[in-house]
Parts: sequence; structure tokens; C-alpha cells
Amino acid sequence: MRPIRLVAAAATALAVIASAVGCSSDGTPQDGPTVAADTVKAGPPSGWSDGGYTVDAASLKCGQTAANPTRGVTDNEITIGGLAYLTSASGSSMAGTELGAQARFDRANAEGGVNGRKINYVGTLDDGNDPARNSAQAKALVDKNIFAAVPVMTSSANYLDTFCGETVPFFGWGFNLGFCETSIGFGVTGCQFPEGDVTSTTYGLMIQAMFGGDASGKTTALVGVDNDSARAGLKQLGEQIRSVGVKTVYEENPIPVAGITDTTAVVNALMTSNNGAPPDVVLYVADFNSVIKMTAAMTAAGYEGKNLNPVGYDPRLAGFKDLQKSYTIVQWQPGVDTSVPAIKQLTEDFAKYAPDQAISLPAMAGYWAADMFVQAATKAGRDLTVDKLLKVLNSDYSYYVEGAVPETRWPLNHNISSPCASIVQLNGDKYDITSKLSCGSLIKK
Amino acid sequence: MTEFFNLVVAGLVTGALYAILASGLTLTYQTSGVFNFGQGGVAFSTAYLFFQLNTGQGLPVVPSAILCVGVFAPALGWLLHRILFNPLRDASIAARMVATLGLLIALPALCLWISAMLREKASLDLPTVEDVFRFPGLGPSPKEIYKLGNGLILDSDKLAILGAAIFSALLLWYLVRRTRIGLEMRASVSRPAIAALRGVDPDRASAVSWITSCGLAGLVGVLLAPMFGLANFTYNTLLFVSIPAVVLARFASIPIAMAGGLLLGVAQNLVDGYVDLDITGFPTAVPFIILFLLLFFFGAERGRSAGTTLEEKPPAEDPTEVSPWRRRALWGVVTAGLLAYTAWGATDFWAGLLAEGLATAIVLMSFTVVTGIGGMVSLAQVAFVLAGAFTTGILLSHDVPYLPALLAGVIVAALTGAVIALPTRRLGGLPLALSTLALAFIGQNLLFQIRDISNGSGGWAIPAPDLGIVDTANPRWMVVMLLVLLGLTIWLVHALRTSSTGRAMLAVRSSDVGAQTNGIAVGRMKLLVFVISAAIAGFGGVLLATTRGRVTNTDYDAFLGLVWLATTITFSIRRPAGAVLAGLVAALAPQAFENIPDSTHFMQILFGLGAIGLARDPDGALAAIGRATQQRRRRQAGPATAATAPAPAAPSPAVAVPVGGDVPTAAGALAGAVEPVLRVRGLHAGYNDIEVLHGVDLVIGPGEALALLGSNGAGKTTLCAAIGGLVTPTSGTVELAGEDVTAIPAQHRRRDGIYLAPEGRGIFPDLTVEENLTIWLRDRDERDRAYEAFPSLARRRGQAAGALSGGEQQQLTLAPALVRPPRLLIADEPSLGLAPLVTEQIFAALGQLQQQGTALLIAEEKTRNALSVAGHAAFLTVGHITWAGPTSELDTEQLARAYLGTAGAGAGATPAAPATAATKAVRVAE
Repeated sequence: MRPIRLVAAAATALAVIASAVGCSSDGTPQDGPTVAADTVKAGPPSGWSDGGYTVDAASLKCGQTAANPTRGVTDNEITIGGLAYLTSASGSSMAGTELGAQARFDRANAEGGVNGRKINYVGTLDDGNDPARNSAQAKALVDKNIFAAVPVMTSSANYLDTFCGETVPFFGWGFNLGFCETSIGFGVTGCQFPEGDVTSTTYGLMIQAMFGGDASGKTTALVGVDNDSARAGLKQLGEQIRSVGVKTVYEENPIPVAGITDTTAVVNALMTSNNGAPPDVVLYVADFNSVIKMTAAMTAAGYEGKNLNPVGYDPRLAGFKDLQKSYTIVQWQPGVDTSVPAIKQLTEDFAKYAPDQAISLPAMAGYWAADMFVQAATKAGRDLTVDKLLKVLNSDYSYYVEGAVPETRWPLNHNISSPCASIVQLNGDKYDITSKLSCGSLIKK
Repeated sequence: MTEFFNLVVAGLVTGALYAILASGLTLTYQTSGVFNFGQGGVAFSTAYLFFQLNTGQGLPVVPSAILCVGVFAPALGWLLHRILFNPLRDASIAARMVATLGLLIALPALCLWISAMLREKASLDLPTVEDVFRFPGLGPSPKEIYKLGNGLILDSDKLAILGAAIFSALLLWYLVRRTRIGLEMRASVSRPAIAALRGVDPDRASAVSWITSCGLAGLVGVLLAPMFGLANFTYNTLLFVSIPAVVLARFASIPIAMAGGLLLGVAQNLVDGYVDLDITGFPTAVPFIILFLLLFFFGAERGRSAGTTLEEKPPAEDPTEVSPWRRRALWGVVTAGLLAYTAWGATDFWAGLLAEGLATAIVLMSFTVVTGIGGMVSLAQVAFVLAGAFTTGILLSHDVPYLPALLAGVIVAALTGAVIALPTRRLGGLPLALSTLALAFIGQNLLFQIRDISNGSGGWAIPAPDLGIVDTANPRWMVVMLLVLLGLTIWLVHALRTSSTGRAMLAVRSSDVGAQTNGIAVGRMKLLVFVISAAIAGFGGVLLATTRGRVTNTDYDAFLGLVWLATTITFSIRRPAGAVLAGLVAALAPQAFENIPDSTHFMQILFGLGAIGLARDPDGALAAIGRATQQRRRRQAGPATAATAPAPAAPSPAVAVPVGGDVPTAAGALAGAVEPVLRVRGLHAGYNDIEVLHGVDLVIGPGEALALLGSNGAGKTTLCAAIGGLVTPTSGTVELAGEDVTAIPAQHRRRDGIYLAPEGRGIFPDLTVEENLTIWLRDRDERDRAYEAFPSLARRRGQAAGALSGGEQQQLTLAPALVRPPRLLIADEPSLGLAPLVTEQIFAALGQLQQQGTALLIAEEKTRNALSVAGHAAFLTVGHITWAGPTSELDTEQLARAYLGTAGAGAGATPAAPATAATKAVRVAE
């Protein structure tokens, strides 16, 4: 399963995106907030600085009390269902996420359930990456009387109107708009589409990490996909990178939505983008096939800098020729590091409850989303209702899995993602962790 | 300069991909009239099978490739030809297009569904596409990358495509130029009727072209997988991107299509390299902009001759024969049922789905207007839906009340329709459909990417309005409101169809030129149809967005437009009921089939079945159901009739009275003792519903020559064509040397039987003289004898036959018959348009043939020449033989009477009528 091969999702899954509208004319904007480069340092995955940015829970959408607060809850059961694109015409898929959630719920049930209630996981419905089907399947889930939706992993946010209307809390990977500015959506790393006056230093820090912590004077080129949301996403990544003092010398969206057919023009432009020379880093935010085509072509053209992308991590990609030496940015700690207790637990859960499932990013996202729900529901106590759960989550709640999933704080992360990531490099048959999960800070614009 | 060179070379290599796809599209369009959107589906299926064999089962590349590209894809092509496209040859362009769209949707789904079922039910260990990162191709895996010269980078995947393109070009060249079947293909493309007369079976040519083009598509499919992965979406997009090359070739020339494909690759690269437009969606939209511009310049001319507006048959009468009141009652019952279900049976969930289905039905009603009434295939309806819904959404966000916002949405949609129609309406048929498709893609990738219009990926909220009396936030009230609005829309469409405007539209649809001469402003009429349809689509679009609560720019993409059209046509494009059913199915079916494994793909397979259904019944499922009901009713009625009145076993006297009363029958004097070469009895024939021949009897003995005389319009050509097998008689028989050949079409008749030299030269103008002769004379010796007979042809054997003089063309027509004398030669107006001297030569040749024992039937308006050869003559007057006899008994007075249509029975008439009548009676009894 190639995670997020669909362009829109790929472009946004790891990006922090703001609402800023407008086009850069020459592709090398140098505006945006900056902080003194030497003050930006990578920190631990919890306790990151919010830069003074706060979110008032009352300002969020869907903050009403539930019409049926005990929907899906009986004395001994909690009904849960998920929504994801398990198939799609573009071949991209979140398949694996349903088994990831299943593994976590099965362990919870084996340990006696959530405050004595077993989780009745009715499965994850497939929206086929079709917006119309997305809203229909959301209605179908409500029709199945679910208490909460776990995991939610779709490109389209059409489910939101239904979940909001029925007050259905949902947990997943926040790469669609439904996770943003709503009090009922909880992304394991927060909302990836911030609207408003906030950004972060995440990508800048990751590029620093690729240079051993000091990237001063380095240059980066950003290559994205040709649609509106990918464009906005790329612009934000540019801001993040510039915020640590790295220059962005190329920021364009030349890759057609169906994937790139010929790389010549883009490679030409990249190889001369840094005043006639190639840049130090090229970041490709695109679908998997376009990323490997670009990476391979750049390597063939004699590019000796670093290739960075958000889609190249999957245990089954080990040894993949066209991605050798390239870096991948991941929003949590990859599954290869079993020295972390939580990752070890995850690996064991997969081995026990979903033995055939590779520990891919969608599978991990499903697992962590389920974990986040189980923890919050446990904290809400025996008299579980929708309102109680949401009240617990939205009153200074913090979710953090040590060394595995970065801290998210609620309600803050309803509006922005946590400023954290890790970086891996594919070296032969194995991924080396270039930078362990670490965090920068939010920056108020 | 280096950069330019690199871009051009790399572009050429990429273009090879489009070149193969475009050549396959052109080939099948030429030989079967079908523009195969389904090629992407064929490519995907072949690649998928290859993936399963190679990656899944570990079969090496070469045997896998042979199985997939050499066996599977061609076999699929043959199958599609048999069950889908051959039956659809004469169907409307919309039906043909939808059959291929069905393929595009269903084929990949079928592959995925079958493997999902095998995995689940048979526990087979098949890899899924999602589990694999590198797909196999024909080249090395992983690919080799080569750096050439100064920065030119090519890889083995691309070189494999280039190699495949060269292979395809050679294969097609050899097939079309060097083989018998290629010659036959070109002959049947050049002049289908003549080709049939010369024994060329158009089915065979079409089958071979399907086999070839599917084989090529399969080859491309396998080569694409390592480059783009196995994604249906990508395969289809690449196919759409290659369409400009087909348009450049004017849908006709394979070499130009290939060159066009290469150029397209270069153009794309040059735009990427040098055009720095900072507009979102521009790089994605470039191929579609090129497509639109090409259609704008090249589409019109072709569209007028090949478009629906000229070729489509008039709408079939309603096959159900249900009275309007019964139908209204049916509507009433269904509506009441739906209301009752909504009120008491449905959960909120199902009521909401029902509302969505009804809103979709209103959108689909726009197809009933533009395609069903207007005869134009529009694939841009999704653009109108988005235009309407976005307008409403924007206004609602500015606190404009719902009704004015809805109205504004409808108006903007209508205006968008006008903008799209203005440049495209002069196109017909396929070019119109393709240009609307291009505009839909341009809208999706450029216009609706603009943030001010789409409000980013979140879109605009369109909450259900509180109408005062009812609050449609309750899905039940929404259903009621939509039922009312749907009823209004149906009424509007109905009123439109029966209004004078509607009739004018139908006139435009049947014949553009005809309508024009009748004073109908064709352009304005088409514009009006388009605008009304766009307004309905916008109206439905706003309502659909309302039922969903939101509209975003990914909700209605161009591909959905294709799916919608396919669904509507599968039911019925001409009747509002078709749109209503299609709308309900589109919304409800995915939920209804939810429990079937891999239901998403299962749904898509249904489209394929729909397409096959369409091949059987191009008017759609409703018409098929209607026809079935009718047949059942007739079957039920049949036995009852038989019980009361036994079938007339013997010819009753009433039936035996011959048409015309005077028993005008032509018969050669020699008939009787010797078996005649040709015996025609009671022949009725015509075109569509117009009967031209009203019972013709004719006998020609061996070696006899009969002059068939008659004025212009008497039916001479029809008679010749009916005897020759080009026109199927409605009743009566044609016997050739005692064998009944009535039902055998020309291409399947024995080659030594009848040779028809049709009116206006029986040659293939695009083929050379040599090739013209080769069609009938397969041996070189035979052709040499033809050149001996007409030495002037020998000198021009390499020239296109169309470049010959009129006399030479007539010589070329008759030459094969001289070399292989048939039993009967029919010459239809052989002297037409020829100088007297040339005419003499031609008739000398005919005389020579007669001496060799060939019987002649010479149809002539001018009598003198024919009578110089013929021993007998027959007069044909408005579909009847009015006089027949030896030319010696013919006098000028009879001639004049024959031409004036007042001639009575001739002296030489033989009463062959009773036999004819008996035959007829038997046929009636059957």
C-alpha cells in the first residue's frame, strides 16, 4: 500500500497549510515570518512551544451538545466504525488502516475493554475516494448507530456535515479539512490545514536535521502538484523552510494531476534553479510514481544534493532502487524503531491481531487513531456519553505516546498540526532514522 | 539550444505513447465507426493480467507478455467486436459512445472484482495493486537510466515505449498496406457498399481492426504500468490526452495520428519548458486546450458528414404502446409509493439517499434535453452543475436567501451553457462530444481551481432551506419538495418536446441541412437546446448540492459526467423516465449492493452489462422492457387468434390477386425449358419505411441480355441493388441459377454469380488501379488479363483510381467481370456521364461478355445504347414492371407510354403471377 499516493492527499498530509491566497510570480518568494535561525532548535516530541498561539474551544464548529449523547453505547458495548478510501481510481489507498485500528481495538478488548465496555468495531467503510460516496458512507455510519468514527482517513471532507449534524466525534489522520476548526475532529497529529495566522518551523527543522543540525546558507527547491490545494500547501512548506533561514530557490507546481509524463523540463529547471547550479535539497510533494520518476531523473542528471519527499516510507520499499539515499519525512516515529516501548507494543499487536498486515503509514495511523480514542474514552469514565467525551478532549487534553507519536494539545490542535516530524533515509535494504521524532514550534504570524 | 534539443527529443519519446494510443483509436474509428474510449480499460486489463501472471504467479516476462499482449488483448478485441461493437454499428453516436464508456468503467473493475472474489472465496494468493510498489513491464525492472549528450535523460521504460511505437507503426503499415485484409479494410472504408459487392465482408475488416487495436492497447498498457503504476485513472487520462492526435488526423489517417502523437509529446514538453504561466491547472489542462483548439479548427467539416445531426435515424416510436393515461397512472402510483415509503417506511438515511437520487434525476434530465431532443452529446454537464452550485454557494455565504440564490445559480449555469455552445454548436456528433469533454476538463483543472470560485477544497455550504411551510432540513420534506420539482422539470421537458421549438429541434436533429432549407435557424436552435439543458443541469446541481449540504470542486469531475451520461443512456435518453431511473440508481445502488464483496467494483461492472444491453437495444433498457412486454402480449394474443381463425394454409383468392391487377410480368422468351439465370418473384423493397419496388417479377435466361428501362426515379437502381444483395427485400425472392439468394447479403454470395456494376462507377477512388483489381482478381495472371483487355489501365496501375477519367473508371469497373465472367452482370447506368465514343467501347465490352455466356441486365435511362445489346426489354414505372418483351416487339409508342407511366400490359407478358402470389401467401402465413 503506497500511502497517500493521491496527489492532493500527498501534498497536504504532511504539510501545514494556511489560508493565505495569492500567487508567487517568480516562484521564489522570500516573505513570510522568520525567526533568527540560530534560535530554532529541534526539541523533544512533547512540550513544544505554541508560540503564543491559542484556540478558544467555543469558536469551533460543531460545538453543540449531542441530540442523542448515548448513541452507540450500551452497558457492555461501544459501537465504532471507520471511513477511509480503501480503493480509488488513482490507485492510491489507505488500505491497512482498518486493520491497524482493529489491532488496537482487539488489544483493548482483550484487556477488558474501555471501562468494562467492549468495543464493537463494525469495520471501516470505503468511500472509493469519491466525494459523493464519502457523504453517503458517513450517513451509512450514522445509520449504523456508531458512537464515534475511528479511523477517518479520506481526502474528501464531505462527511463533516453529517458528523457535525449528528455530533459524531471522529479520530484519524488530519489530512482533510474536516479535522480543522471543528470541535469533534481529532487528528493524531492535529489539523493539517490551518486557517489563520499561524505556521510552524517543522520542515525547516527537518532540513536542518538532514545537514546535521546546521543548514545555514543551504538552498531548497520545492516541486508540487498542479492544483489549488497542493499549491497552497507548497507555499506553506516554503514558509516553514524559510523560517529557519534556508533559502527557497524554486517553488513551482509543474506536475499534472494524473502524474508527470516527462521530467526533462522540470529537471532542467531544477538543475539551474540556484543561480545556474542545483539546490542543496529538492523536496517533492507529489504522488509516489511522480516522486520516484523525479528522484531517479535527478540522480541520473548528476544531482548530488538531497532528495526529500513525504511518501517514500513503507517497510516493503526496503531495497527500492529508485529511492536509494533519498529522505522521507514522517509525522511520527516510523515502525522500524522497536527500541521505543510503544513501537514495540504496536509491532506485537500487529503480529498478534493483524499478522498479514505490513506496518505501513496508513496502518500506523489507524492504530494510533484507535489508541487516541481508547485513551480518551477511558479517561471519560464509565458514564460515557458523546458530550462527556468531547468535554474531556476539549478541556486541555493532551495526547502523547512517548517516543512514538508527538504530543497534540486540545483544543489547540483543532486548528494546526503539532510542529513535529521525523526523517528517515533509505539506505539499501533498510531505513536509517536520520532524525528521531522531534519538534519545533508554532509561529504566530 | 541544448535544452531545446533535449526537450524535443524527450518529448518525441514520450509522444510515442500517445502515438500508439492515437493510432489504435483511429484504426477502429475508421473501420467500425466507434470512437473507443474503452481503450484505456483494455490497456489496464491487459496490464493487470500481466501483473498477476508475472508478479503474482512468477511467470517469466516473455510468456506473460505473449499470453497478455499476444493472446488476451486480441481475444478481448474480437470478443468486444462480436458482442458489443458490431451490433452497434448503426446505432446513434450516443449509444456507441456509451458502450465504449461502459467498457472504460467496467473492464478494470471486472479485473479487480474477479481477483477480489478469487482472493476471498477461493482463498487464492493474488497480490493486490495496493501491495506492490514496482510493476513489471517489458523492459528491465527496475528501469535502466541513460544520460545522453548534454543532459538528455532517457530510461528503459521510455525506450520500450518508443520501440513499441515503431513496432506498431510497422505492424499497422504492413497490415494495412501489404495484406489482403488491409486492402479489404481500406476498400470498405473507402466505399462500404461497393466493397460488399466485391465480396469484402465489413465484419471481417472490423474484427481485424478491433483485434489489432486492442492488441496495441494491451501492449501500451503493459508498458505503462512500470511508469505510472496500475491506476485506472492514469490510464484513462493518458488516453484522453492522446485524443488531439486523432483529431489532427481528422479521425482518418493513421500515419498522421502517429505523427500527431509525437508532436503532442513535443508540444507538452515545450510548453513545460518555456511557457511560464503562473496559473493553477495550466500544465494539467494543456492537452485539453490543444484538443479544444484542434476541434475548433478541424472538427466542423468532419462533424457535418459524420455527426449525429445528419446520420441519426428519427426517434423510434414509443415501443411500449402504453396509452398516455396508463403511463400517467403508472407515474402516479410510483410517486404515491415513494411518498408513502418516505413518510412511513424510510429511515432518515434512506430518505436522504432518495432525495439525492431525485436531485440527480433532475440533473440527468438535462441529457434528455440536449441528447434526447437535441441529438447532441454533451460531456460538459458537470461544469454546469458546478457553475450553478458554486454560484448559489457564494451567494448563500453572503446571506442571500435561498430562492434568489438558486435562481442566480440557474442563470449562471445557463450562461455557462451559452459560452460553451457558442464555439461548439457548429460541430456535430463526435467532435462536439469531444470538445465538450475538453471544456469539462479545462473547467475542472483551471476555472474551478480558482479559490474565489471554489473556496478551496472545503467548498461552499449549501444548507437545506426552510421554506416557511416546510423545513427541508428534514429529508422527508426534502423528498416531497424534490418530487414536486422533478415533476415540474418533467413537465417542462415534455412541453419543450411537443412545442414548435421542440419540433424544430427534432427537425434539426434529423437533418441539419433540411431544417435549414425549411427556414429553421439551426445555430440558434442548437444554442437554445444547450442553454436550456445547462439551466436544468444547474438547477439540478444546486438541488443536489443542497441534499448533500455542500459543494466542493472535487465533487463533480469530468469523469463523473461520463458516468452520468452512461447511466442515463443505459436506461433511456429519449424519455424522462430514463433520467429519473438513472438518477435513483446512481444514488441508491451503491448502498443496495453494499453487502456484495468489493461492492465498489461490482457497481462499476454493471455499467459493462448496461453497455452490452445497449448493444442489443440502442434505445436503452426502457425500450427493451417495452419491447419485451409488447412481444409477450403478442404471444399471449397469438394463440387466441389461431384458435378462432386457423392460419390460412392455402392461398386464399384474395391474396392471390396480384398487385396492379394487370399482371405485368417480365419474362424472357427462353424461360421455361432451360433454367433461368435470374428469377425474381414478387419483389418488394425500399429504404426504411419507403417502399420503392411494389412486387416486381423478372426472369433472365442464360446468355440473355435484358434492358431495364425507365425514367428517373422508377426504381431501377433499387432493383439492381436488391438483386445484387445490397438492399434486403421486404418480401419476394431472388433466385440465381435456381438457388434462392434473397437473404444472402452481397459479401457472402458466390463469387461466380452476380457482378454488379453500380451507378456512378463501382471503384474505390482511394485505392490504386492495381488494388482495385486485386479486390476481385486475386491472381496476378487474372489481373494481367484485365490489363490486356484495357491497356490504358495497365499504364496507370499505380495511380489512385479516383484520378482516372470517367471512361477509364468504367473500364476498371467492368474489367474484373471480363476476366472472370459471372453468370449475370448487372450494369446500372453504365453510360452515365460518358462521351459517346467511350460509351460505345463500354457497350462493346458488354457485348463481348454476353458472347462469353454471361447474362446481362442493363439498367438505362437512355434507351438507345441498351437496346443495341439487349434482346429483351422491360419497363419499370414507379416500382412496377409495366411492359416486358423482346426488343423486336418494342415500338416508340410503347416506349413513350412506358416513360409516361401509362403503359398497360405488354404482349409478351407471361403469367408468372400465381406462383408469386403463392409464395407471398406462404410468407404471410409464416
